[in-house]
Amino acid sequence: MWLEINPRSSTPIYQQLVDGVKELVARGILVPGERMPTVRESASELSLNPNTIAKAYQKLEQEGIIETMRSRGTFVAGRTIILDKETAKQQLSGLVETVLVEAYHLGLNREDIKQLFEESLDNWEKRGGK
Amino acid sequence: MDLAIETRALSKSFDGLPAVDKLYLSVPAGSIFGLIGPNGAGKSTLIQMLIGIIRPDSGDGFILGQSIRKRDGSIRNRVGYVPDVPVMYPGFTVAEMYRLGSKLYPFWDWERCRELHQGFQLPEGQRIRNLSRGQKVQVALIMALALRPQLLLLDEPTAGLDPVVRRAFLQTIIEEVADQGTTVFYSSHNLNDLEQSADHIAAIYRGRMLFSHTLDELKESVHRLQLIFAGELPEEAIKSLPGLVEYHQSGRVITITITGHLDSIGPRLVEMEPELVKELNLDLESIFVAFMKAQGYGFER
Repeated sequence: MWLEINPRSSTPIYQQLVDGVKELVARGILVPGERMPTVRESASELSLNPNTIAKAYQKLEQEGIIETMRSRGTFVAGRTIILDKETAKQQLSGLVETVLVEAYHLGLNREDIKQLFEESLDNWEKRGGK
Repeated sequence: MDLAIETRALSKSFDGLPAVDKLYLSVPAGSIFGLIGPNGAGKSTLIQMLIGIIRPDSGDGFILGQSIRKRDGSIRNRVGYVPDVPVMYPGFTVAEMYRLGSKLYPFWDWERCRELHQGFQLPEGQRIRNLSRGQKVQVALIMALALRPQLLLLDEPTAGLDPVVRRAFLQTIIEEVADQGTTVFYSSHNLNDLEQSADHIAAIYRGRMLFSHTLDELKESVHRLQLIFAGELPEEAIKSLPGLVEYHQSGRVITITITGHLDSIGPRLVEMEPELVKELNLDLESIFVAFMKAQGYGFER
């Protein structure tokens, strides 16, 4: 599986796995109906604890992102999944912070930054972005 | 929950000094359980009591449901033990050690032995005395797995292994757990290895339990936060926060390490009106060092 896991992160590994699979599905890299590797395959490939992988799979199944069909294996669920808003915000906050640090060093204040965001959004929408 | 290992007030002293001191430990079956602690904390003594090499002074322990005080050696049939310094006949060749294993252990699996031996690429005809410590550890691990264990007790197994072999070693353990449901209990100073492979971590210090958690719980219950204040620093208020493990101040920036859930810590910090709160990354090694510092264990200059 195409996942990057950092065991030394504060985010528990199972949570990184859950987030990673969600992201792969949202980006269309994992497609509905695709077979997921078994717990054993993932544990071996990623050199991670099998119980941790199993926990992540359980969570993903509860959230309806993957489904297990008895004796056939685990598959990416049929419906499309969009990251929930909080997760999406969390993922973006790091990027926003980088921008804020740059803005500080360039001498921009709160109002300048707000204005910049508004302008960028307007431009984005004009060009057909959603 | 099935327990592969359980100890109750297990104690052992050497020359009047407690090495393991009323230790309570529960290791769920099927887990990879990492034991950490500074040098001399009692890790090896604990493992040696579990396998029956050292007799406890008081308290009791059970492995695979059997009391560790039972001394008929039958437990060794189902427990693979890799000591920190493997003891093997120096004049034996590697192949002769395997043959000895096949005679000693009733569930010995030659196929498993050959498969692992080929994987680790060890010299079969070489005598034990000519092997490096790392190679001896590999032979000991191969034998511990070939006896078809239900429990593996490993004392500092990855110390002295080169990076390639260390990876292969961890991989082998992970696959053993995935395929056989074997319980692995191992002590290590290499916290990166544990962070990747273990699901439970227990820390002992001076023979006593400092903490025992799942790795996920541990990560969710210890935080390192950076706080910046505009006005006067609320040093006293922060230092009196429950669960504070570490406090460091540099200019206007205060860095704390604190135990507890963010849901309960957060509001108390907000009350102090910091200008900025940022959570820093905290790996297992930093968690361990922070806990040890809080216990007064450190290297002070």
